[in-house]
Amino acid sequence: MRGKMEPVLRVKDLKTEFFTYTGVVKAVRGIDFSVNPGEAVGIVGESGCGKTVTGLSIMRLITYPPGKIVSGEVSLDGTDLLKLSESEMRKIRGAKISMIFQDPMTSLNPALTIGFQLSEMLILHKNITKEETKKKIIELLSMVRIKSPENVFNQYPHQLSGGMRQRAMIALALSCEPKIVIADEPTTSVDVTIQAQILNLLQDLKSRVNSSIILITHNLAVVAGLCSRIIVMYAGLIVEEGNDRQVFDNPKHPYTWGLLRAVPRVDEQEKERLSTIKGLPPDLMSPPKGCPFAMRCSYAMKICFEERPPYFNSEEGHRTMCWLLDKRAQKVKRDE
Amino acid sequence: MENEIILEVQSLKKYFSIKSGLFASTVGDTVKAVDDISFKVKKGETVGLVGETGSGKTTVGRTIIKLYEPTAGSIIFEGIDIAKLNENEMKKVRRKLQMIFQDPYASLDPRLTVEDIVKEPMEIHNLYKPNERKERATYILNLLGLDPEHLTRFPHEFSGGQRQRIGLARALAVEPEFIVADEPVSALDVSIQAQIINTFEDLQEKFNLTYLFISHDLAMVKHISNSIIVMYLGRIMEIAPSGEIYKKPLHPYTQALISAVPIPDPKVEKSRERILLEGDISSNIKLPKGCRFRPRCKYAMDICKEVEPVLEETEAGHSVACHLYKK
Repeated sequence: MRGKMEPVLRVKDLKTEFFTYTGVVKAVRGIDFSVNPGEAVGIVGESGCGKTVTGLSIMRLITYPPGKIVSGEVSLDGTDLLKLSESEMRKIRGAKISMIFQDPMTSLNPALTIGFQLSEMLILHKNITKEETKKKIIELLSMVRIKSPENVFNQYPHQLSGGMRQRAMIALALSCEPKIVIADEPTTSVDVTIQAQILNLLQDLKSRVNSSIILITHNLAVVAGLCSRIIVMYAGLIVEEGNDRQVFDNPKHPYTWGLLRAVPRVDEQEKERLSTIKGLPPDLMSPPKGCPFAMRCSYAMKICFEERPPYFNSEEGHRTMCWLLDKRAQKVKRDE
Repeated sequence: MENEIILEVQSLKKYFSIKSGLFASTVGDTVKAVDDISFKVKKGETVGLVGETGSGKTTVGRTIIKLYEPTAGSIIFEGIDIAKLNENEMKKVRRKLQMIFQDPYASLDPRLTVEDIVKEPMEIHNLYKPNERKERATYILNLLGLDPEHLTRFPHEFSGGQRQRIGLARALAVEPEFIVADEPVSALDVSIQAQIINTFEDLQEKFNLTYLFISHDLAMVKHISNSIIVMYLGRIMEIAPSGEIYKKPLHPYTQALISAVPIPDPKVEKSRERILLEGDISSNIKLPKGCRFRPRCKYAMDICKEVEPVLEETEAGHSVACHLYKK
């Protein structure tokens, strides 16, 4: 099955920069990846690694000034979204590709009812009557497990709890059965119990609606349950990509090693000291010319500071941007 | 070795009354943020306080150092009931009881240099001679992995992790015994979280500090704490040694909470049976009769509707407030 499937989304050499008074911030510095139909891909990385900007660039939601997609291609079913006019893009946004934002309080309009905000989307993209719209919305709200959807239809965002609002956002994102849903930190501002509900819901909806999901998060544990493929980003680049087993059981990039060992596990038996990644991420106004992680990497070699490493494929579908995988490099073992 | 008890909280209550209107009269409802809780903390240990938003964990932390005046109950710190002390008497105790706040961006005065920030508590408590204070500040900064050069800089020049270190430096400046850390790493990136947590552990060893570590991140709390207190709607549901909380959680709420924490391992995560809690935490204005967790509990029995369970010890160091464990 793998390889034969035509991906729904293909991102090629995407570069997004922000032109500020102090200089040009190169937030995304040339990334390639694709998403297959019905697949859930996780994009993991710390603040400032470019994961959210990637999501916004795909949605064409980068505002100029200061932001600008300077090069690349984002093709959805063969159409390059970056070449579309704003009005053409508006027909696709929400209908074929939609986004769930981190903070449901600021991304829902506080002055409009939930029902109104959901119907806006359906009226814009689907040619249906008012009665049908309402019926469809109630259906959607119960699909995201909101109790008494008829009441919620007439309620305002502030009347709902954080978890409910996030569910309303998910209903909104799914209302037109898009090909792809980009979820940007959908669980960061909610409690763990609500996070579990939302992840469970996304899992369930993925199989029901057959949408693909791009889950953007800083929390490796969150992608472990939902995603079958993981992309690790660092300083605007994809430093490692592979399926869940490859990235979690056999990671190749020292940054991924660090990330995995920096978080305590609730199931850890013996208390171990957390391993840290020393230092801070590089300044993306003047990114280093070699490997972006070299100055924090305890395995860095001379070449790491001089030349950005290419991707090395270790297995089918597993690629890593790291010189350690070059034949000439010394073999290092990841300390467990 | 049995450590002495440094802090004992007895039947602590903190209610907030809801005031509204032009003359700010109480409209009758009270929020029972902390509703009759008792626990003990041993010297040199870390007690973790976990719970969802609205469980009252932050209020507990703030009431213990008397940023909030307790409604009832006592807080015995080193043998003195500080709940009864007035502001003047409290000042002496407060040197020993310091707090680290969640948001390193909001908790440092943007107009003060790092030197002023770290020296200010020494000035307030009249510690060290004025000409020795800078030396002390330099020493602490070094200890926390910050460059003494940073003394002349302002908070906005630092990253989140560095700011949290400055917050720690400010707390340590006055040689505290007990530190309440309220979500100290929640606002930081994972790789920075680990650095700060390790610093916390090093300092504890060096100065024999006691921590009350408040967080919603159960994995982190389990990592750093000796024992864990689980709170729900202002009440303690369970107290357990941190080694046992994962292996043998007793309260249905603790079980659900642990099961909700994702594990960074697809093998475990994709095959795990998950207990999903229905709905959200209820409001603590109109508390349900009986057990407060009952509306979300799948084991709820008839007695749970009527009688609120009390915290009872099931074995040494492990207590639970649940009718399921009544003999």
